[in-house]
Amino acid sequence: MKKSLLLSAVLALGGVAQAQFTQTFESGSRPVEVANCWSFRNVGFTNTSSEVITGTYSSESYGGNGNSIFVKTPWLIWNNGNVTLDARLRSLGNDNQGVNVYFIPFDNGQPNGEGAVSGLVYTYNFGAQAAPNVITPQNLSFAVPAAVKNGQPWKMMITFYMDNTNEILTDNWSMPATYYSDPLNSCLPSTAILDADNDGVADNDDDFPNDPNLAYLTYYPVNAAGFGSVAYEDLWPAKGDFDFNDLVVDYQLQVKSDAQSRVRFVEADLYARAVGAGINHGFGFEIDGMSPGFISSVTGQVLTDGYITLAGNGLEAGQTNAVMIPWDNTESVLNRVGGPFHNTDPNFGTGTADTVHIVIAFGSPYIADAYLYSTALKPFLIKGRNRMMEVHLPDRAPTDLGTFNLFGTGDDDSNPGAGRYYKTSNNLPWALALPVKFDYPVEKADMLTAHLNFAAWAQSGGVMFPDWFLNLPGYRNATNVY
Amino acid sequence: MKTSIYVVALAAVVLGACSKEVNDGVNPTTPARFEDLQVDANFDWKTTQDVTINIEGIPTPVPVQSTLVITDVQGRAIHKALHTMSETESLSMTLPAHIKTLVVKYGSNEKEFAIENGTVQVSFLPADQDQ
Repeated sequence: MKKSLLLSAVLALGGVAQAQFTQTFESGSRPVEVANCWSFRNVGFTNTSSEVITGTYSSESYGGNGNSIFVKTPWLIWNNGNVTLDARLRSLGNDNQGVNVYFIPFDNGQPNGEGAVSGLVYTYNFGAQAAPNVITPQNLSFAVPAAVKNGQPWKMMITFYMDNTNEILTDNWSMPATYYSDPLNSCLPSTAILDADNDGVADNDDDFPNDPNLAYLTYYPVNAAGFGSVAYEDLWPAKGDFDFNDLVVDYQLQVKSDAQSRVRFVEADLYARAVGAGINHGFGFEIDGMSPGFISSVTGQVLTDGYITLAGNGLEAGQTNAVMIPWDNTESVLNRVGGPFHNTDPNFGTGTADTVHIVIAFGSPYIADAYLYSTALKPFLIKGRNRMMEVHLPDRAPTDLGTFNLFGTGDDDSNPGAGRYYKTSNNLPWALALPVKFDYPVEKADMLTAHLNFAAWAQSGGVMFPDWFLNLPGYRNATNVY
Repeated sequence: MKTSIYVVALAAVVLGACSKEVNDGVNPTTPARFEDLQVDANFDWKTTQDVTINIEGIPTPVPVQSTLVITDVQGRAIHKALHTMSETESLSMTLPAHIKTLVVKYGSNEKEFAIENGTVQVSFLPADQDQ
């Protein structure tokens, strides 16, 4: 593929060369101008009506008495013509007050790129003027030196000298030049950007430099090369032993988006790390609020039991929102090593599970990745492979195929009319989702005996110990953590 | 001497009463079992937080655009997108609840920003000082 070399200056200018570069100080903000690669020493902005030359702001120099006082432009490519600016003294003073102009070439060997300052190019002395001309704005004009018009970047530096208590005010700088600084590269001169696939994202920043439809790869949860977990108690609507290891599923989403931050693909890696239950379940997840029409295809699901019906795009059929079923039979993705449970009893060996790799391809109109981050990803357990029996995170409604008939029975205290789901009468859940790989309790160990700050977190409404699941000193009883 | 013993004993009782823990009903004690937790009905059990990131635009003389990258302090990428320097923009994302600091990189600029009340204010304006 032919590489595309874009002069960042041209890119920055939208492809149209700028014949005249101006500075009117109307931003009123030295930080804004510095962010755009101007430099100021002992020069600020004034909006005092008696000092402003035109508009709302003018520049003002201060701090005489031998101090260095200057303004430097950004790097510019200079053309034929004159530099013009308006200047005046704030008040009358002695005869030795004025401005000097120099130019600075780019020197790649210098840390800030500034080479040796040229000789004096122009000077103007207010002292030679008769009052009141010194406090009347004077239009200064001088030609760009021939040496500066060499197609290379130069800065112009204007220095000021005046009485200790006086100021020199300037405005309306106009320079026959093109802006050639890169504010995002330490204000060095602009350089060519390599963009092999012409998607507007520089190759250095592009995770897919040769694919014009993809630019960025990010992970969810925030854990590159790591996973999050969802953990279930599976006896809903009855309470269980609260070891939250009846089913533990680890997951990682790899979000692939284009240069406009629209999601093109999500690849989900999921595996059943623990099964501390005697019941065999299925596992699914819903993208709440997302119409199935946004998704063009879903592949990679492991469906062996025949009770899941798919639509043409691989999503589950009969659903208002997008629902995917990574597996319908947890045993079909486990590699057990013996014992009644899978990876919950330390007296038995550690088994493995197949990683189920789901690829979700999004179709037009593409969603912004911000939607995926903020939207409700709703993982759920399919209890006993009975499609109607879903177990969800607290206050998450079942999918269209989940039953409402067991709400309010057993230990369940759901109230769908109030948006309350899958909670007991004292507000306890049957599932938890974590942004890290969950170190769950060993078989039959109560959560509170494993994670010692969990109670404080829950009872404080999440204020205390939001990091309760981390392996920090004093955070867990290791004996009860698998 | 008998009187002194009674005074000491009385002082011990008084001091013991003062040091006894008071259960004020606001901070419940930690139960031994999960099912005995006292949890507010509105607690959502989330281990994540919804964060809004407000990026301050800086006016530029020409359009300037590059990739803005948001990571955690370990450098793990949370968000990447093209950002125009002059645009003021808000992003929404879901992060682990225990993350308090984000790192924002934009070109050669890189700074840490604190998450405060679910919001991050990002600005790359330099300090107002002489160069």
